Amino acid sequence: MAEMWISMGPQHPMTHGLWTLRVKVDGETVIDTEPDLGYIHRAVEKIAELRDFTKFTTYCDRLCYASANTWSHAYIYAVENLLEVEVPERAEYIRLVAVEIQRIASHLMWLGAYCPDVGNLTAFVWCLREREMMLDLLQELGGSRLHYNFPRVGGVKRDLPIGFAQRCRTKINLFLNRIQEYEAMLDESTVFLVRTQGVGYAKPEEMVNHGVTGPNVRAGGINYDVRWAHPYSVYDEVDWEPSVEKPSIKGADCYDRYRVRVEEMQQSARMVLDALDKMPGGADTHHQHGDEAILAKAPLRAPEGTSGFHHFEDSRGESMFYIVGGGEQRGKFPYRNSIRSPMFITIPYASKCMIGYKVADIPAIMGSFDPCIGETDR
Amino acid sequence: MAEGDWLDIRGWVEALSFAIADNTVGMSRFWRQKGTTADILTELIMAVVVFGLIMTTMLVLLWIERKFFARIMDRRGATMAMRSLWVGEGGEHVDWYGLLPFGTGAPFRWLNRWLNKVAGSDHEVESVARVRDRSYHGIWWMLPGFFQNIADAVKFLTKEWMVPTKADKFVFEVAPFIIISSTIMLFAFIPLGPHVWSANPDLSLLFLMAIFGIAPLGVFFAGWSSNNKYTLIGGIRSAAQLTAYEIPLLVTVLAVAVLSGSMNIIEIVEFQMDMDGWNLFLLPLGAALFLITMIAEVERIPFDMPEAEAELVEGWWTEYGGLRWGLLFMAEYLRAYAACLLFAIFFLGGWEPFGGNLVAQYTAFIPGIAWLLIKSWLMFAVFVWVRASLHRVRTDQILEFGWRWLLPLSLVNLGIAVWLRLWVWQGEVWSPLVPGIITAIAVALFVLLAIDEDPESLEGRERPYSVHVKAGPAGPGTHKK
Amino acid sequence: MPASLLEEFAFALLALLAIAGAFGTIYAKRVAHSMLYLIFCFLAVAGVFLLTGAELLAAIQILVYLGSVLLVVLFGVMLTRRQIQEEDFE
Repeated sequence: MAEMWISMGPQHPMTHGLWTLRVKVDGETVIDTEPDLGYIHRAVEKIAELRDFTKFTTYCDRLCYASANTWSHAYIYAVENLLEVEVPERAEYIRLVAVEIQRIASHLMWLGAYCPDVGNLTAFVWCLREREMMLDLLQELGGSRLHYNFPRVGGVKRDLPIGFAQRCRTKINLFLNRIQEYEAMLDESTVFLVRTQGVGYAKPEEMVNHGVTGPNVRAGGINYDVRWAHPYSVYDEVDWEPSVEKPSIKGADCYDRYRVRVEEMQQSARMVLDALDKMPGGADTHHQHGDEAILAKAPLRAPEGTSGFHHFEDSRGESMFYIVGGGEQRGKFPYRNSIRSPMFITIPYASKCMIGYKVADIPAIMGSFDPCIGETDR
Repeated sequence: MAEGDWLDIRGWVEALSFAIADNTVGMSRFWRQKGTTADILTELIMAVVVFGLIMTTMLVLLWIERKFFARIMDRRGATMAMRSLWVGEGGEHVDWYGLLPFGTGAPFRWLNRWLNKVAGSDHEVESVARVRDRSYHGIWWMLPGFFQNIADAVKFLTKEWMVPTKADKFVFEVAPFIIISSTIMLFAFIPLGPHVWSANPDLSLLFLMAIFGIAPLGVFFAGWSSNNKYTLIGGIRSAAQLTAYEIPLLVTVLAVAVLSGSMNIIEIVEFQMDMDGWNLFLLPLGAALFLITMIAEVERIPFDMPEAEAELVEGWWTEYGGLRWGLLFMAEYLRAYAACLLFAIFFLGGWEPFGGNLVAQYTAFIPGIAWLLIKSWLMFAVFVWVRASLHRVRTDQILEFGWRWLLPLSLVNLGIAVWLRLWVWQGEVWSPLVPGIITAIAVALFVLLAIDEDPESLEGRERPYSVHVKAGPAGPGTHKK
Repeated sequence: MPASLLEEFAFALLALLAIAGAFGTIYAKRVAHSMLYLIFCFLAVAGVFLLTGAELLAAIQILVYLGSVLLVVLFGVMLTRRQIQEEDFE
């Protein structure tokens, strides 16, 4: 058949968001790709210059609809670095619980979206069923279903609700059982293996050169997890280990990227259970809103010339915030807030990954990288 | 046997038409033509009756597709229909048995209470139970689930019919006609019972398969004429896949015809009934091949590459809308229905009751059509089950599987059929040993193949399914013509 | 209306359809349209076979010519030309 360019997007089932992938095909084989991003650019970095530190947290939530908590936490850590705030340990543990539950929810959303990409609707609904449990837990913490606005500069908005620890343990244990169902459904299905194994090879050294991070690079056998390499918060105190795949010589394929996320969900669950056990003051105590034990006092203004930086293991890779304080001239506002989005770096690389495969592999490869366009376009 | 069925619809219709012809044409000066008139009238009425039966019972298929699939998926809204009928939701008892007259609902009430006690909706997690309560709308709307089809039909009827500006309008309009008409024509040759059929030529099997092969042309034209790259790829995929799978399908059907010694569908069924052995137990390989090729022919998951919604939006019918789309969709289900009916006819003994001659005298009050429809619905449930548990296979893998595995296997199956017919069959009832041994071998092979490999042996294995093609990088700006 | 007359009517209809299909095949401007007309031509010929009592031939006509040969021809026509859409619709 003739060579032709197919424009997939901005509204297309493959894109998982609002962007265009232009694909040049020769019959059924992809010979060139060209990603086109920027459809939902909202100038978030500019908005940050006109908000004080607390008010901008909500915008961070909205950077990624599937993984809101991780983004607002990444931002809060950068602000705390800027303002030099000591966070109470209990608050750190609560943050860890919130972020890891969010990570499970995000990966479940990914798995749920990935299964229809390779043609199965059953696992999609199963994943959303479990994600609903996670969202219920997060709703208990943050008060809302998707955008929680949970962390505060110096702590968290609220303590764990009464009875939360017990409910959380039940649901996490149930979820760990349910993961076995997924493995029976996916890993033991030859059709799933046929669709994912040997498809979308990504070489580890190329991924490092392109700056790909997170589960995608760990699927390539590179043990780079910010929580492990540069432990922040209390990640060095809870019981876990990063999930790293052993890829073949050709690199990490879609199946590796699937496995690494499933294992990461299990690690996150393990981390949540351990954090609930080790929480200072016990997981069953409940402090009042604004108590010293969960929220430290923090200044509102950053002096001029100071800068705060934090890199954070997001569900999709390494997110970074770099904030420069405004001083007297800017009042409560920062001078500059720069965001590093992991998917903005991964998507161009992922689009190049699919050259040489079939048209039917495009959603399988693209979906396996877990694109999220909200954070990509910022 | 055919004469055992009391539901002699064709006989009744013939009597009716002869009575009508006697009293109208027979009274006129064209009285010589009354036989012809009655014949034509019979055929017309039978065509309408069969078509009506198929169209009304197809709702069951849609119901299975929705509810059974939803049950497998554990989907919140749709699970209500089957579950709450007996169990109720969230501790709420649905008092539908209270509406039955004269207290006949009392045993149901007792059963309901008991079921609620043992299988009530106290889910492991209260939030799941809470979510399940969310879409509870009352028993009378949940129970049937058939009203959704009416709503769908109304939606299709009221939607605007649009042709893309640059589409080839003539072909775009004609293509759905080819697909839909050839699909409906299938049912002319499918007997629904010994006396419920529209046409019964000697070569009905051959006609059926011939008509089955027309639709790929319509699909190809539909995909080409829309002037859309997705539909073009979808149409080409569809044509390639349907051609590739038609050959094993035909060879498999040929094996059935060889075993039964007839190209007539009714005689195939009667051979199974007379010889006391369903083809499922004589040709298990053929049954498996028929199931696989039929799933590919009706384009259902795992072989629904032509309409792979993940990359081709909706495949070859992306540009269709409104009633045309609804009718194309209906044609898809009609083809699936035909596949199920044919499986029941070829391999499950058609309208013979479960248990064959052993129970035939006790179940004589049930017409044969009921057995046939129940068998075909069960087959459709298998289709839905397959769809729910498998993923979509890639195009090249589909074609490779078809040519490399199914075609040789279907030839092997044909050899088995010839062997059975020529050397094993003695011209009388099968001895129970023959189907018994064949089925035992088939089950043993199936179990052997289904056993999981040792996961540790998979550990160091090279990924076997790689398809990477070396393609040179396109130069900068090559996309701008 | 005698049965033979009915058959003659049917034959006339089918013959006309076959001839019209053949003419359409020749005179259509686009190859795809030619193929479409050829379908009708083949179907009508199958109908003529049916009328003459050659049932097997009719079934084979549809099965082989319509189902397989025509599809292969279609593939050949569609896939050998380059840039189908741009050329055809500009």
